[in-house]
Amino acid sequence: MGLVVRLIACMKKIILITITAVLVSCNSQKTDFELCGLGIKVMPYYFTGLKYDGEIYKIEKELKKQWIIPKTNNNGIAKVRFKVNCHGDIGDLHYQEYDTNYIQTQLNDSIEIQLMKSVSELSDWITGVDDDGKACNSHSFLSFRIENGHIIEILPK
Amino acid sequence: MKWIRRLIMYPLVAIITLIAVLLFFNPAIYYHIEGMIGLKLLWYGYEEKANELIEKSISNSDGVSAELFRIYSIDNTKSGNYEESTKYLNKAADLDSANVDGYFGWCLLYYYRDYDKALFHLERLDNSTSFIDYIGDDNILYAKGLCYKQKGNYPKALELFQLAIEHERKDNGANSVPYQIYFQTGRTLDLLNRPSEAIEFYNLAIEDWEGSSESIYYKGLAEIELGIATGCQNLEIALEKVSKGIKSSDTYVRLFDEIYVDQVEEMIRSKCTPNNPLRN
Repeated sequence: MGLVVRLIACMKKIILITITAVLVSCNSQKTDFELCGLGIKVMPYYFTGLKYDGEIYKIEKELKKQWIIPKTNNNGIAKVRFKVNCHGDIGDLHYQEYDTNYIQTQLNDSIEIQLMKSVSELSDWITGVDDDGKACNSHSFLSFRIENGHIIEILPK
Repeated sequence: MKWIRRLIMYPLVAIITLIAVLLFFNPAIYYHIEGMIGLKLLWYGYEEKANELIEKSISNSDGVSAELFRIYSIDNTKSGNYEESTKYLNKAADLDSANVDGYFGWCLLYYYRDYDKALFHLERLDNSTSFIDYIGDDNILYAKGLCYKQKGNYPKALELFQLAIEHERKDNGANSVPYQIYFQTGRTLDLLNRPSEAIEFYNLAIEDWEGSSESIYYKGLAEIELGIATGCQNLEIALEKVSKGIKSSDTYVRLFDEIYVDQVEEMIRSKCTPNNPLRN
């Protein structure tokens, strides 16, 4: 029976290593930002309860304060996807832009520059927790509906 | 070692063979599993890989149902993958508009804040039935009212909210009107510069749920506008509640006219500080 237990343990390890390799290979960018643990388990904000101190109200206020209105190509939705690790650090940012029919497009360059900078500087994250109540990695996003260069809505929460 | 082979290898080989035979005769199962793996990866945030698998699954499957397209859209909506989620929802709505329009309209209203497109789906659903539909937990008249309110058409929004209240009272009883309808009616009256009437609806909302801090907050503001002494007191009550997390909120998305601690504090600082007895 001991052999069987060892064999099962060995198979578990092989499966875990394979899954890790697959998932890590999916995770493209390499930066200073580090996820906690092996970085495999990154759960969505709505599951972990990841929050920003001051919530979306504070994010919106800070962002709008610094916002320079782009004059052209300035209608659509910009989205910044990111991860927050168990220490509350933000990283692994990805950026996408959509037109008003939700097709990926390219808006004014300054929108990307401004939003990526602002989102990467958000530093008051309250980490999400896992099933055991321990601080964990979360993934989330902020999307910005932009009309005539003005940010009219920031979602999701 | 022989017994290990018998105990593990033989059943394993048998199972793999069985699966291989099953997949050979019915490869759709394989692609369905691939789609489900995609959904799981999406949950863990591996969005590109996830949608690659989902796309592969769809392109290799015959007759994907409206419900499956809708399922593929859900986590994409929650992750803000707008192109993928709307693509799947459009396909779902093309296949079965009667069962998809409500969900699609609700997503467009709350998750996309795209009021014109939301109204298209909500109107189509509303016109196709002879009864009052519910989308999510919302009365469809209320949902349409929210669209018009957010578009700035306050008279139309008010008309729809009042109709929703009327229907709720008639169908579910006088005490069964959801407080959100009262709250949004109050907000709309406020936006129409009718603060006295707005207060009546905020009171109805608070009566239904005293945790509706947003109703207390906007009631306070309306009172301040009318010069009623309890205005600042209500802002303080709202602040106390919001600080404890007592307010309307949603796990996934911010609500319309949701209030926040900083917001209430700022308002108190700007409107109440000099004469507010609670703060001095």
